[in-house]
Amino acid sequence: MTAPARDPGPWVLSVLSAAFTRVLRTQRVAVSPAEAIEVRRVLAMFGASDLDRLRTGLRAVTVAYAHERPGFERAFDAFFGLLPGTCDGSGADGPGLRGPAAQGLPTDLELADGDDPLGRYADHDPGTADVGDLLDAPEQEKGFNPHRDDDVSLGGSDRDLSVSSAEDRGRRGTTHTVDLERAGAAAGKELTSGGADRVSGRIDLDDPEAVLAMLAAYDPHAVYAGGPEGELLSANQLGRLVDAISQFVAQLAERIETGPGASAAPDTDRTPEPADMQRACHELLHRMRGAPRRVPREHARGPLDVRHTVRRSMRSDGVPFHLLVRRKVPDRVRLLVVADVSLSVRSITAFVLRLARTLHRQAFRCRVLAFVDAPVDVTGLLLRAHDDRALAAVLATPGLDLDATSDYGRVLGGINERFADAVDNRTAVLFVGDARSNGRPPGTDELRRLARRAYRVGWITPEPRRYWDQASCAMGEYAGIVDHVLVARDADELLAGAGELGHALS
Amino acid sequence: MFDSPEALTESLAGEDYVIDPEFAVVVHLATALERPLLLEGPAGVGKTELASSLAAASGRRLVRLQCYEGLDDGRALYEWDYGKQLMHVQMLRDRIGELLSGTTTMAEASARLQTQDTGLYTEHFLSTRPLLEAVLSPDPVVLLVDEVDRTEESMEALLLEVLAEQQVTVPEIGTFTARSVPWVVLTSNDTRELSPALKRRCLHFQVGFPTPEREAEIVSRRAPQVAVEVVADVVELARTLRGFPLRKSPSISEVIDAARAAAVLGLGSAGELEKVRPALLSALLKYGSDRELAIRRLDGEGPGPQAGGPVAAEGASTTAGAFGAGRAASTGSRAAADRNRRGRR
Repeated sequence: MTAPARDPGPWVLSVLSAAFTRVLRTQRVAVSPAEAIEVRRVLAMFGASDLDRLRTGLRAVTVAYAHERPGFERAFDAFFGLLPGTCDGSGADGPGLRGPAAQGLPTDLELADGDDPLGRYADHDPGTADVGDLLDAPEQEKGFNPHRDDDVSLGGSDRDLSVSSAEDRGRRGTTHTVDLERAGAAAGKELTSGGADRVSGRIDLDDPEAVLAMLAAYDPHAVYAGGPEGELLSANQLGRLVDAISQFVAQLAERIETGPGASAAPDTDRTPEPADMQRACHELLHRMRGAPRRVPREHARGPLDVRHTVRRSMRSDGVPFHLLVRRKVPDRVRLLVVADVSLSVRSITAFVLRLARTLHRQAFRCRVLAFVDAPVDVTGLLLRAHDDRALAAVLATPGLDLDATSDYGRVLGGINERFADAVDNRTAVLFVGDARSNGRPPGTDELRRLARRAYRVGWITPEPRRYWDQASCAMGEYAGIVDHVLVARDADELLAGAGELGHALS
Repeated sequence: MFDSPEALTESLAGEDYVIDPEFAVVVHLATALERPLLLEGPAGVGKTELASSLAAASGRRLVRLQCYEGLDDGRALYEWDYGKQLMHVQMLRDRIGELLSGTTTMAEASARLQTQDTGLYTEHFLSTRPLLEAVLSPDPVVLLVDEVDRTEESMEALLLEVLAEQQVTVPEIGTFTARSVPWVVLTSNDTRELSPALKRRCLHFQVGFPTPEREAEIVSRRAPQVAVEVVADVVELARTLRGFPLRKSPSISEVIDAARAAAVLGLGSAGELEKVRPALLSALLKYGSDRELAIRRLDGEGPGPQAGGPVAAEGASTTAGAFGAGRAASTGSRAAADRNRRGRR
């Protein structure tokens, strides 16, 4: 908010970038203030004449992770009004905000004006910045002043900001009214010398081609560069304005998402979207450290590494200027996932298998064993399968007897014997299962043996603690052996506990 | 430097680097905003090549920092040249003796020595390493930090000062601020998640394999002696191969090699590729298992090669590498694993 105070030029762009940044944050794209400044610079550089270019530029500036990308695209579409369903649907609907108007969405942002010079800067809403700013050439002939009005008008006699929908007189669609009256009135006083001029104007959006042409003619350097000084908004007012705009856009985005032409809603409870998975993995790996190993380093703590020190001292005539020590450094993550695929835990297993798949990309090494009564290596199968069919592919593995009853004792013994090479003292082992062996021996000793050989052992069980001590469940005994037990019945709980689990496994 | 993405595209084309329009916008943005550019993507899609082409196109010098595990600040930033300092002191020995000859006590000698500037901690005795070199260079340079995902997180922290402030602090001397603003290009093969702090300081772009048309253009530029139809065939073969779950997908440079090989083997027109395919596969594939799989699929037209498509397959091959299903547990020793990884690139 301080940027416009120092730079009285195209501060519209500052407001615009602040609003866009906020909309991005509602879409779970983490944008820092530094990046908001970058957004502004990109806006200033590219303008809105070429939306593809602008999109690429803004994406490069704001999106740091692949899982943030869909959020960015949604925000960009909502903000800059190029919705996939609205543009090429019916030509008469025109670009941008006009599309959703058919379902009663706003086409104009109108701010009723009072005696505040605030009203002069009517064009800070996203809809107008790419539409309204550009109006100067065509509208000048009609006596239109781009500094004064637009479809936005601001006013000064209401306590709070409100966005309301009302019928537009004689025009199709509805009007969004944002009352800024008395918002930040104290700060506004010093600006009231401008006199009370009521501003009302309106953009005609009935002609999409004209709007597009104006967009194309937009020169971001010229339009507001020569704005008179002293008419700047105070930071307070500007902040409120940005609030109002982002609120408006957020509502817009919300409605767009629930609208009939919208793509699948991002948050459905059934299947967590890849972004969630990515976040869970990121969280898990961020907290997770591999087993420490010693590496020779200078300027560190640890026992002296004589060999490297002597070797290095050869350069300086045998004088050991560089003392190298053996420092503990966490190794890369090596993971062994052992997943129960019997019916009782399948819902959580499906998620874990997909998690494991995503983890492969990021962990150094990751093997996956599936079992009902005997462990089978499904690493290769899981890799080749596509996302949705991961579980199906694993279930179809030869050697996996789905009709058998789970037998943890036998499985643990099998891992110790047949997959002894999968576990070493740098490997973290993650079990997924309910620890119910249906009356067979639980194999506690085998698990203890495994835990001795592995670096860390974690366990994800769908059953709450109170069931652990039932006769057929060995979870109570296992819990004493493994490093961490996470109780998770669905993906959300798993997501919530991922950080803790990662910490325990490191 | 470059007025628009188009100008950039043109200059790079002069260096035989064919760039996607979207990529061009981002690179232009990085040069205009003078922000570091972080490129992520599988090995062999031209990330490193971009930096050298950019340097050549803009007439800047390329300063390269190749990252590896265990890279420390002595290799990345600067190091005091102790040998040189030692020699310096030895050469000055007589002079020091002269200086201290009149003193009677140790304290006096020490005090007199302290007043003298021996000049041991000056830029002269600093062995500059790439990061400091980029900052000190009077002419603007292109700084390439290659495969930043191979270093540890502590090294990333060290990069932050250089990337964000464009300065390097040497405790004995002070802070060197950039004498010219370097363009910084970081590349990552995405084998490890980079720290958010580093990512936030960079423009970010995900580089993928180019479309067949673009790849054909790249190959024709780099290997002009090869007939156009043959290039198209080789590119198509590479595209099919990238659809298989290979340990290592053919990179662009390997496709260029294969196109050259095809020309050497006397191919002149389309449709003759079948004859020399085994030879081309040795240029494109570097693992025995990959080769077997490719031959089996290509001959049998096994299920699913078309269904995957290059995008899905690229992910699969990366994961196959990270997974190391076949070799992971058996090799055991770190050296062997590292050798494997190096071979994979």
